Amino acid sequence: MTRLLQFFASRPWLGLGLLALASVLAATQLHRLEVRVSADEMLVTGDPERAYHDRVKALFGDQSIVLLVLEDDRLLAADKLERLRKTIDEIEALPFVKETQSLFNVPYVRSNEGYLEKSPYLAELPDSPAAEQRILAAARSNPLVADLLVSRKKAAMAVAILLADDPQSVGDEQLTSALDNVIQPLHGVFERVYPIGFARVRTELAARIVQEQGALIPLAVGALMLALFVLLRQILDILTPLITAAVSILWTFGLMGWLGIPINVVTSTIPILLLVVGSTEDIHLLAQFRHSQRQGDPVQLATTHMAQKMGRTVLLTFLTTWAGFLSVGLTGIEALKQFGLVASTGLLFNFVATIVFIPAALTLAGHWRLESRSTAFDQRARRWARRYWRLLCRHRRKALIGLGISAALAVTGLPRIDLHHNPIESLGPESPTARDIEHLNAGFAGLESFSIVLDAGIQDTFLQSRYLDELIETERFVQTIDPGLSATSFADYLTLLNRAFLEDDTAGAPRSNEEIAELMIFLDQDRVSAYVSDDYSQARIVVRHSIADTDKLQSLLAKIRDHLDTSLDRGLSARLTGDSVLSLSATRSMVFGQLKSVLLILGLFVVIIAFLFTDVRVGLLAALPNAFPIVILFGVMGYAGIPLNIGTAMAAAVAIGIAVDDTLHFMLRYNQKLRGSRDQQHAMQETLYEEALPVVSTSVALICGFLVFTQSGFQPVAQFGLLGALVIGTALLADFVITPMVIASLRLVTLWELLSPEARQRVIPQSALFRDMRPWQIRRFVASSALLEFAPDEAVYLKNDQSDALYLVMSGEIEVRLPQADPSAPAAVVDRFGPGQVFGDVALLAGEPRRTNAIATEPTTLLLLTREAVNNVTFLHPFIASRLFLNLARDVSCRWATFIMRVRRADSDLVERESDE
Amino acid sequence: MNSRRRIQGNGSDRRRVRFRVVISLLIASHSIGLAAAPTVSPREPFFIAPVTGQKVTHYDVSLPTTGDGRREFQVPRDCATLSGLLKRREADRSRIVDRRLWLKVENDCRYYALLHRHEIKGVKDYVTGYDFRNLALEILPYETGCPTSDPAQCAAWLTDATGQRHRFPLIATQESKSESSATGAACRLEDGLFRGRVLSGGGGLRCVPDDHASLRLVGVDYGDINGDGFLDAVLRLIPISPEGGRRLLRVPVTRLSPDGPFEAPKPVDAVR
Repeated sequence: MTRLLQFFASRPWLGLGLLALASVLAATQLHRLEVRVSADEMLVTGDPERAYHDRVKALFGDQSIVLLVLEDDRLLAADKLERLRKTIDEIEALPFVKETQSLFNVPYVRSNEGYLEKSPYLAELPDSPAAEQRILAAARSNPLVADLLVSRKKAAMAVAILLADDPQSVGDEQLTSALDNVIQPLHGVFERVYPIGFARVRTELAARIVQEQGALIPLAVGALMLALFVLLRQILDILTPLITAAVSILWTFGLMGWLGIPINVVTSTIPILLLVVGSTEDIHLLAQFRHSQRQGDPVQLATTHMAQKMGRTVLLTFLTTWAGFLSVGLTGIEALKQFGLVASTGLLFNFVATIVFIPAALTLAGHWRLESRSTAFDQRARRWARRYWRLLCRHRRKALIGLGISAALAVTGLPRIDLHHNPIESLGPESPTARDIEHLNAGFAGLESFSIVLDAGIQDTFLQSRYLDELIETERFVQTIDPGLSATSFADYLTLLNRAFLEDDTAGAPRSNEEIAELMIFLDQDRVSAYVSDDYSQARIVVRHSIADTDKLQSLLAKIRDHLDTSLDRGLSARLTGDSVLSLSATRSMVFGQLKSVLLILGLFVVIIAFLFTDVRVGLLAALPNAFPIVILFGVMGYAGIPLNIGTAMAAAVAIGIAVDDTLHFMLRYNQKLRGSRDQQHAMQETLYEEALPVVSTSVALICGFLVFTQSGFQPVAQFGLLGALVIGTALLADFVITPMVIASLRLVTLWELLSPEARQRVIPQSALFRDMRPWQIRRFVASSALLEFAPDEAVYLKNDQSDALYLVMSGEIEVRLPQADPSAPAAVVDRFGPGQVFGDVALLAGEPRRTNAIATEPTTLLLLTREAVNNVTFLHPFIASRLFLNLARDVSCRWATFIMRVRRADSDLVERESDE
Repeated sequence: MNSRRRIQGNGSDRRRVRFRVVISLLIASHSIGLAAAPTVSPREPFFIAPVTGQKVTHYDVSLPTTGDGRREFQVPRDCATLSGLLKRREADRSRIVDRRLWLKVENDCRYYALLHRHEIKGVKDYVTGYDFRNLALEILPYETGCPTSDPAQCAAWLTDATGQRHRFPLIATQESKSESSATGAACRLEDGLFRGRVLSGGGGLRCVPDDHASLRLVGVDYGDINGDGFLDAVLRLIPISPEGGRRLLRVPVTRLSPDGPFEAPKPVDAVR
């Protein structure tokens, strides 16, 4: 990363040229980008419930419907109906309309002198108010019509417009617009006229997305610019995040156009997120650059320092944020998957744009700066950092107790969290479509539905009264739970026929198999195909409702399932399906996806920290400041009544993916400072001083950016913005309270980092102990060691000491001497060990006490590897251990050979001396 | 009485009969209900069409066969074909609905054949003049109305030309105190509809009025079903109380003199 930053700093025009070229390529794909909202994208892909739902839809031939609702005190006045009939004819002529169902063509099944009459309710237009009331009363007593085509609660009726098999090929907007045009003349005829259906919901969503993009993006740019101006006061520093964000947004839109991924409610948040989140790396890089400039570095040197000091950090923080965005896609919901993929790729683009553009721009224009921040400000900031750290240390316990109480309170709010996963709700209460739906729900059974499918597996089962009774009983049970629900089934159709034959509007379903068979002669299969399979082995009850509350819906479905489990005939199996069931499945997926995302990010963070500081405990403790905002987030959701929905489900993962960056910045900066100064207090004060500005700047910019979303008319998006800002704000608090306290208590400087550059670059690589080892293996080995320092003549070990370690000389010299009976006699030196050499290994491996003394002859530093550490390395890293033992064996063999040669030479000298004598 | 039509025994009156039929048709088209039905055409009975349930003189039906799969038929035109398929057991009755449809076309074809079993040319007609839409139930030859105490004779009297015993479906055998108001006068159809319950027991036929309809006359067809030279009326009744079932009842009645009592047409064997 450092090299990349330096590369583009040295070749600014190349970097800018590459950015321009990629931008032109992306721009060529923009025309393919479309704003499209689909019902399926809110569902779980690969969900078994969805596969079953598709099978049920194929079996019962479900179709998309738009309802044309008409309200009027004189609903069936002949002149109004005349106009309506013309409009219906025009609607039926539209290419995307398959058919319509209304009182004009739904059969009014009744007896006529013992024969059946199935002419529609409005076969003849009523000629008097009394006739109108009779028709309405008759329609309202038809369970297949009441509250579906005619309201029982108010003077309202509906025309169901059944769309062709592939209405999406027309497009929601075109469909809605065509229908609006056709029904326009009805507005002056009926008191209230409105078409309502999911196509209209989607059309309004798409229109609002486009509208909001136009309003929110400038707002986000403004908020970001303001935050950056207040905090940074440098024109280039304000413009740079905006330029990199604009480039990444362009590339992301180009990619979406190329892949055919549409802009929808969820992906519409990506531009603003890229604008805000993408600015954080820029701010950190620029802050480091300006810091170096303030220290007096020229542009080139400041750029090099920026690359060296921030290269690794921005890469790691990018990775955590990228993982946060990507993890949103872990849920099975298509819209969130698309968001995860596109947003993480967009962030990658932003990162690329940042590491290319910033060094290039700083090289070319880094010297343009406003001298707005004086050295006096730096001095003040340094003082504030010192005072803050002292204050924090003084009130450490109070602060921890305060945060602990907050977290505990938040935990109690967790069970209060509601689930709310309803696309219609996302429109908000002010939406005209939402108001129409509210009107519809007040008079009709609602747009939402689910099915209870009963399956016997044997043909003609539902032509037997025993099983027909099961349908009736289940319907009755559903309506006892909530009388506002509309439950219809094949049994209702038979009831209608039965009533007609019995000439009794209060009659129920046929009671015997014979009666059912008799009625079946008069059954129009097309009319019941939505309720019963062709072979009568499967039947379904369609339940229409207007329940928006997920918990309430879940409770309803649970009650029905319980009832079916306990009361249904054992010859039947039952399963619930439909939009509502899929919606609940999506909610479950969202909840688990949310947990998975958050855990994944925290896990990744722990791994990164543990890897950087070679200690898992450090990683776990560092996760603490980031777990705190999550707990607070869920607590606030519980207490504030903010439900878990498609928007808020993303908040925790996205925000925490961003928030961990500050902790990383803190820890890496502290690590840097600690390497330069062993004084933890001073290192922490310097860390607070140097990180305060970029961390506060990025957090404020992020909070401003997230708060922009609160201006969205889509509730989930607005709630996402609010919660995102909350998490960033809480994380900022945690980063300035918990993080300093946690990291100050940790050993954030690894042994490797404490070694002098001489030791790292020369002694260790040349040591026989580490021959043929890779750098990371050496670092891992060193991480399990300890450094010891000895003064001249200080003993490392003495004869008869337990052999529990071997030593690597890092600097200085060690003499291994034979112990003398007379301490005043000159020592017999067995061997001498200098930098890079190993000693003490023979006794360690032999498992015997020391037979010699090891004494430092000058100030000496040793790397100590204990028996326990050797055992651990053998157990955890067998490849490293095998290499270690091979190296030790070679070293011991060489020393042994040298020793023998010395002994021989000594022998021959003795023989020569004796012969001379 | 305008709708009355008499079929005389000699052929010279045929033209006059046709004229009357036309007149009757015209009148019937302006009058309501089934009172006009006998005058329309005694030879062309009405059926209830499958699926639509409408009153038709013929209907199309799709029926499964064991050989050629599902085939389209028209009743009564294809009754011979249908009868052949039934005899050869080529009717696929494996499904309940199909079984019931086959039963319906079989019944309709039989009924059609019953009405056409004998020529009606020259038969004596003492039935078409009766207003069956407002008939008194006592004319129906059901069990409690048996004119003789001899069980054997009664059984013969109750067995009609179609080989069925007349058992009226609506009779309640138990009388309760609240039903003490039952009278014979209440036992009458009004405009083709009977609203009440029929009680059995000593003292003849008695009925308790009720708001709910319990018996609907859906049609009256005419023919000499037993070939005894007297025109018979076949009343097609549907019990419409939940207790009574909904199977179409065909009740043939005849009269052997202009003012004589209605009785079940004797079986063909008895006639011979």
